[in-house]
Amino acid sequence: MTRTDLLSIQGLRTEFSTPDGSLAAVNGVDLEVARGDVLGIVGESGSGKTVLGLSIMGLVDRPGRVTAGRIAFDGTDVTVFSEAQWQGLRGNRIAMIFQDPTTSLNPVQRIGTQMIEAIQAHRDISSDAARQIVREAMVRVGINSPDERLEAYPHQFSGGMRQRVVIAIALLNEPDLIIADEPTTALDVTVQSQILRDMRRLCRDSGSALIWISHDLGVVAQIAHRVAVMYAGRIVEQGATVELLKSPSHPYTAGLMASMPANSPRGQRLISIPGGLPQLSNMPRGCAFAPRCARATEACETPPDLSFTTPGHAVRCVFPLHVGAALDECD
Amino acid sequence: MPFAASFRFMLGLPLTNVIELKSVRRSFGRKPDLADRIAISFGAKSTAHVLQAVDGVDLTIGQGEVLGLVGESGCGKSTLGRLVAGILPPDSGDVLFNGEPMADKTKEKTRAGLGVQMIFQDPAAALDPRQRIVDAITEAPIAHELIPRSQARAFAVEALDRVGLQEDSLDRYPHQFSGGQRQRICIARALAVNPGVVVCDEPVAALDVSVQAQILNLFLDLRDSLNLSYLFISHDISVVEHVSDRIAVMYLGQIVELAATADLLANPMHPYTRALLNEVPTLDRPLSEEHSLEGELPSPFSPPSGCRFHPRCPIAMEECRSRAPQLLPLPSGHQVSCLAVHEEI
Repeated sequence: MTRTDLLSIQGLRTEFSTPDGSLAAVNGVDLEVARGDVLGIVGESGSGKTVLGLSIMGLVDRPGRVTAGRIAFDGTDVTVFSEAQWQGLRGNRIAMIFQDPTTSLNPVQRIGTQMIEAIQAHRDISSDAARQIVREAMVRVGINSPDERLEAYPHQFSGGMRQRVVIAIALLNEPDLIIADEPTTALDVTVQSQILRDMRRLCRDSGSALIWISHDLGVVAQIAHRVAVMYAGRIVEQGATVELLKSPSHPYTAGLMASMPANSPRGQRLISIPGGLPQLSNMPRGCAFAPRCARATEACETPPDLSFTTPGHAVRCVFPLHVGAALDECD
Repeated sequence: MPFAASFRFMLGLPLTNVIELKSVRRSFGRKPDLADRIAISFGAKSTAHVLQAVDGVDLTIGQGEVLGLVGESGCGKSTLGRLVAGILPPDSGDVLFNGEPMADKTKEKTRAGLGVQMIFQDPAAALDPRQRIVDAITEAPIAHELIPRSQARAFAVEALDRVGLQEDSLDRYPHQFSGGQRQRICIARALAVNPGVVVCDEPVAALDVSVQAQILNLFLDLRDSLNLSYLFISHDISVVEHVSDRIAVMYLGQIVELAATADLLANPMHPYTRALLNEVPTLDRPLSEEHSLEGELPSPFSPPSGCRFHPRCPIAMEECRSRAPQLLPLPSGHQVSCLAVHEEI
């Protein structure tokens, strides 16, 4: 871990015990996030991206459990934290924004009450002073006439406005790290782009680091400095956003990009990745992507390591794609 | 576009319209009850209980054509899809399938209504969890006496083969399939009654990108092999753009722009279309610093006066507050509903 790293994850493994045995939703993830960094985590449903986010927040519920690895937040290993220690951290130094703002807000409490509570849970501060902070936070996320809006209940807001409120709450205590799990997936594109711009600006102004989890490469490309692509519980490729999108090395990343309708000629067949994600209970022995991969050979039956192709760009593949060859070679 | 249709298109002949909508309106809400009526008789303003979901839409879908329909949530695109599919009758106006009104519910006409089928967003919700796949696919054709019960299994095998599923799926239940496979089953079920038109309401929104590509390919293949027409509804312009011949853009119950796909994307005329295209996240274009569209869709219970887009419009004029624009054809082939654009030309 370098000195600037805010978050450093090594060998993280989160398992869920089921009647069929223990399933690893996150299976050996290493990640580093520096202060002020914006990291995008991309993956399809079932890839383990949400469980990774919940693991960092210490929110994995039974029957799930972090079984191996180390999550160092600002130099302290949080995997051994007690619930009381977690409560001092969560909502204070690390905040999380979920996909559905309706379920993150209490429907029978005024917005103002919920926001003031979030401040007073962590700071010894008068209600009037807290109210002033809340008012400023509302204006920061683009909600006008905050005094009026603070008296309202969540159902009186539109979907986009509710997500803004949730973002305002996440920012209240000026956290060092914000984890956003698909925060714009339920919103329209016009509202999504407004929120993306606001988040980008807010993180730049406050210096908070941001982990943006999404299934949509297009969205991540708009906001993240670095991207990590997850597949079946592992990071299969990681690098600077611009470089990774220009020359994806992992066949899965290249396939994901090629199957986006915007990247292929209108009316023609899209390049699609055959098959679907493997079942966690029935994982391939070697590379998890091998059964769907056109480049796979016998060498793929041993699990590949994450290795660097260029400084800062790592890929977990025995036969990574060469620079510039990506889209032609995959299908 | 299938051969026959593209041939007509090249010769400049009009496509035969399988679907025709004439100033279709549909609202939801309750009628004023006794208390409301008394209040109104004493001079109270009638309160807005009515949501005008589709407000005077004219559209045609040609034989073998894919018409894309885009808009934000709440703009009425799903209601329009249901009107086309004959699931909802219009309050006023006509929905014609091959020249026959869809809403005509006499017995013989109901069978004609089989000609338009619908595919929904969530395939898990669209299938009965306790019904075997073979029954799901053959229930409608048996009920409408298209096939004898004795041929059900053979028919189902063929129907599944068409969407790329194996015979061993027949006796399984929906929960035993992945999301993409379930959507394939829904497509097989919709096609089982030989429709001419399929209304696809966000058919790939619930699917992962790599699976979405497989299903979009299936839609394109089936259109070519069966000469189907689609009304393809989606909030995702990149998906609509990929499959559609023409695109209609909807805003608060009305069509604001309609044009051939390439024309619409290369030269969007309506300020709403321009903003919408500008906000789609892509890999190659960074997010601009400026918001191209402020605010959100206004409540459809009380739509703005005049042009419904004027409160969010960057080029709104004084006149737009009071006068509602018409959807008019322009020399470029676009149909646009915007006073400012009409004035320019």
